[in-house]
Amino acid sequence: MIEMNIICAKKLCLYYRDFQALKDIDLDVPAREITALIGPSGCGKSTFLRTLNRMNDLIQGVKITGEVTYHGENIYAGQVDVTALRKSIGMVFQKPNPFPMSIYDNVAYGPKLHDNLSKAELNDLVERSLRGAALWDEVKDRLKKSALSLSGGQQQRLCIARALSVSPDVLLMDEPTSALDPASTMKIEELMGHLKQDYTVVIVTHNMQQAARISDRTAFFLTGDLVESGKTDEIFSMPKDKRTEDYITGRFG
Amino acid sequence: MNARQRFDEELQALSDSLIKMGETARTAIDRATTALLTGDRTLAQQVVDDDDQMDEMERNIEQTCLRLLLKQQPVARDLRKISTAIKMITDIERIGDAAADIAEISLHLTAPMFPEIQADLKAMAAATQDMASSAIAAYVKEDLELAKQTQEKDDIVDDYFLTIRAVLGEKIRTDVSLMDAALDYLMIIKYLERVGDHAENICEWVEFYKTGIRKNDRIF
Amino acid sequence: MKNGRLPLKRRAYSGFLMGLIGLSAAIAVGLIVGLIGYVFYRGLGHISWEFLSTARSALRGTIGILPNILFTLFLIITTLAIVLPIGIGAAIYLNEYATSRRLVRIIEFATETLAGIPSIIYALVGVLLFIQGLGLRVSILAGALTLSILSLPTIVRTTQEALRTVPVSYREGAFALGATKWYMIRTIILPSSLDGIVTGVILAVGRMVGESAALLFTAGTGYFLVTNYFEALHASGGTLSVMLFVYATEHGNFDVSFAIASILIFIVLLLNFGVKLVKRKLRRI
Repeated sequence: MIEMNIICAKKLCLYYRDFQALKDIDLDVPAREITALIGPSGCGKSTFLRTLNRMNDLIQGVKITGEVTYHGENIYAGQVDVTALRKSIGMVFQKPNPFPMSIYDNVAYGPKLHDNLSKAELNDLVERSLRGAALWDEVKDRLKKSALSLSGGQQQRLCIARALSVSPDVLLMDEPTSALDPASTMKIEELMGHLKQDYTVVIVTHNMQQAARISDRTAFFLTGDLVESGKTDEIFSMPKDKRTEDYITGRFG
Repeated sequence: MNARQRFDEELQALSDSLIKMGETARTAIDRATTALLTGDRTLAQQVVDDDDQMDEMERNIEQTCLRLLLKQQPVARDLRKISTAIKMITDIERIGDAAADIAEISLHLTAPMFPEIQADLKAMAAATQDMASSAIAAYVKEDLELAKQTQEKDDIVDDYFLTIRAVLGEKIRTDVSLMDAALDYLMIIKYLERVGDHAENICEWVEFYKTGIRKNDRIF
Repeated sequence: MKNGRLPLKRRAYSGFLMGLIGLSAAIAVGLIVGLIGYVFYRGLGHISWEFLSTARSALRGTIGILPNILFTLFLIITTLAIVLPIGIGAAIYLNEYATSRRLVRIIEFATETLAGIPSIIYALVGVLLFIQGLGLRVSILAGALTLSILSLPTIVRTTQEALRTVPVSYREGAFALGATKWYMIRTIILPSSLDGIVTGVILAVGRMVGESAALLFTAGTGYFLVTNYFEALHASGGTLSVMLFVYATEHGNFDVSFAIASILIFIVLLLNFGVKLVKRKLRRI
């Protein structure tokens, strides 16, 4: 049987000390689709995204109740190997964050961490990852150059290549184009259209048009609540909740 | 605070001009049928002359809609409102065209009205007028219930059409010399029947605007 | 601004302030240049090959500072060997591992305070702790231990500063790939904060070279040539700064003092150029 929902959040609550940032979130993420998380700043959408690969573990004072299952297993259960989880659920951040090393080393960082590959295998993997992020043709002649010499859009695609290098099956993207110019943004959106053939993508975006353009499903967060989720076409044409409608039509607040 | 007050004002202006266009169409069909039934040639001529005004309105509304789509990239109810407008003006404009055509025919009628159809034609004209004004009213008031009721009235108009057509067919069969006059009246009832169809379409767009569903299908 | 110019009063005031600022700058620069120039003027003439390459000989009545150069070198190496692992390790712990913010803040306050304490107090601590407490002789080792305590706060502080310049986004990037904390620190944090750490270390070395008060009673004032490092650890040895003080106060030999001072200034200049070089070379690619 084909697994429909690769990630399911059930009654997920998250607290920063006394503040409840997520309230009873129930959301299923279908495999090989793009799910967009939208909502005003501070609504909990990024926080929710970070619960999916346990990046919130890094923040002190965070408490989580409820569960998030990945392939049916609760990732907050005691024996979960966070390293392996993050290998399977990759992440791309708002600001492109290539490491201060060469393009090649950036992409090779993940594989070196997890597997013991030969030089040839590693070369091959780096090329495949860069091709997967539609960056290979632009950088193949300067793999040894610093990653910081790339343009913002190229840096972000490098970060996508870096995420792809450890063969994840889910990609979490936290406002991946908010620091980029329109042309680079379009390239990344185009790329995401290709990526969803092989990966499940969850993206946080402030850009409503972007959510409408690229995503299959949309979830609307407001002050820690998941107000509404469903097919993007439906959310953007006929949202059920007045708050969703007010937000996406720009009449919020 | 409303973050998109300008946009809301523009949408309101769009609604206003759509209502105005609907009123103009309703007036046109009212006058055309009155002119037909009373033989008022001045009124008929006025309907024909006023049709240009309708075309002008249609163009203006169309431009407004396309400009709003381009600049505001509307979604949800805004998108529905604008796409409804852009589709509805075609139907409203056709109602205006039908009114002008009826007026034009009534200006050139060669024979007096057949007494056999007079009552039915009057009733059909009234039913059509009623449909047109109810459809416009349904849009103005965003009244889904009224829109549904109005749609059902199309059957009444269709029945009158078939009844009158049968009478006219009989006329032609019995006396070929009545052919021209009968055909004129056949055209008139066809136009009236079309007005009913367009009124029904308008109601369907009202339903879409309110529910996102048109003809039982989700469009999105 | 009718005619595009400030009123006379304001222009005069502004000019007066500019004058004051210029004067302050001139005094500061003048003092430094004058000081260095005077030291070199008094000292350079007394530096000779013999002065640099021999030990002091009572028999021949010659003065040489080779042992003191070596002692200085040994002292710095020993101090660094002790203080770097502890200091950098402590900084990494405080910055990356410590979970109690309050504790970190207390420790940081303590290191800051320690960094400002006069070095003569460290001399007292050194004497009490290492010589009377541990029974060490007045030696390079005792001096190095004292210097370690003295420079530890600085090393911890500068390393922490350097670690803090590594953006959170690098850490997140590494974690998101499944890196463990130590792997992340080793492959991302340390390489990209290396320039800051090295700079801090060089500046600390500069302070060690110039330190005298803390060493006078712990490392001593020995001037016999010991070329073996391990022997030197247990020998009393005066560093250049200490000897400068000794020659000036005990022997009244200001010529030698100025010669040593010239050499010290030269070394510090060299170290400062070294910092600039390191910054440029190790700047993140």
